[in-house]
Amino acid sequence: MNFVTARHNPFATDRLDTVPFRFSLGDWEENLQRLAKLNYRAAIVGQRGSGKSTLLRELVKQLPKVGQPVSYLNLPLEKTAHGKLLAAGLASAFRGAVLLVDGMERLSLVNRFRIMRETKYLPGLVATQHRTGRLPTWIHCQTSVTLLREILQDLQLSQPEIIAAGEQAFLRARGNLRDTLRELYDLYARGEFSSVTDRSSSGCHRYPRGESSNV
Amino acid sequence: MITINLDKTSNNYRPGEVIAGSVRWVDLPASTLRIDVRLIWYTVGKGSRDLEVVVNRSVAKPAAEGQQSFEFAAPARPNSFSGTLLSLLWAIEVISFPDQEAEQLEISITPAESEIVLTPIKDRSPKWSIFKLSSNR
Repeated sequence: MNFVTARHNPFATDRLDTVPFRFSLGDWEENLQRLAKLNYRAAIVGQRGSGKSTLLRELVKQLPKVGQPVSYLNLPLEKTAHGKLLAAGLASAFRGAVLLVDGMERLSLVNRFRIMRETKYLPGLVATQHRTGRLPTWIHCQTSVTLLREILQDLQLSQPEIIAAGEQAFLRARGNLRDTLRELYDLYARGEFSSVTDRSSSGCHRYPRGESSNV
Repeated sequence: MITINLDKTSNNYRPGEVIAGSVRWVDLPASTLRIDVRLIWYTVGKGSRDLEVVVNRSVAKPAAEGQQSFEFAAPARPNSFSGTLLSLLWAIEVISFPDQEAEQLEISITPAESEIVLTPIKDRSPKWSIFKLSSNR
């Protein structure tokens, strides 16, 4: 069987994480200026799999470069731990950090109210959510076939059969890029792309070097 | 610049075997506080990633140029393996602080000659096939 192992799959998470977020308007500098004008109190809005979390993770790296410390809060689907996580995130924000919340809509109404109230006089709050809400929208993430093609190009996977499979998967996933790329991962793992001959081109340095320093 | 060399020519180790080698560095900035030599494992694949630092040896206040040998006992588990969904990889990683310049050398730790490769099988629901009412069993 012509299968491909995870370490050689170009759609593996570590490879996808190297693809930079693309703004539909402006670059990082301009969009950070716009965020500063919103007093670092804004929302990243978009449907599932549209790149909200990717943008927020990049913001974790970009804000300290302009002198804004951050506290990153990734809320799990399971709500039982939300209270503790929120308390820790707010404690950091009180020490002068902008609170970045991934998955604001996962919070209960009470906790959402609490976070909005308690961060009102703090350096900032940037949260991802599926719909516009009380926070002004900083970026509205949208997906398109063109964006998918650009991502495939970044991954050096511009072979026509991969693009065609990607476009079909994109339609099936109704524009959810995360699900599209997961489907392409499975197709690649099953060895269904005959035009890709060098399956070991991805090399051996798969984990971002130095990332263990964060552990 | 940091380079990692292993005493052995192959990068495959068995559990319990000594992973010995040396780290050489040149042109380190004067601000470097320490260099960490680590034995780590990490996962790559479809889902979220996992990473563990198993052993960490620090070289405090290193000179701009230098060399340091290291020895780690290869742990019994987890073994290096690769499947379609997940690969578990071992590596020697060297990081300088605070700049976080890093170098990594992948190794494999298994009782076999190389990493274990998990081969996908066709799921024919073996549990239910036992109860299949047919003579072709």
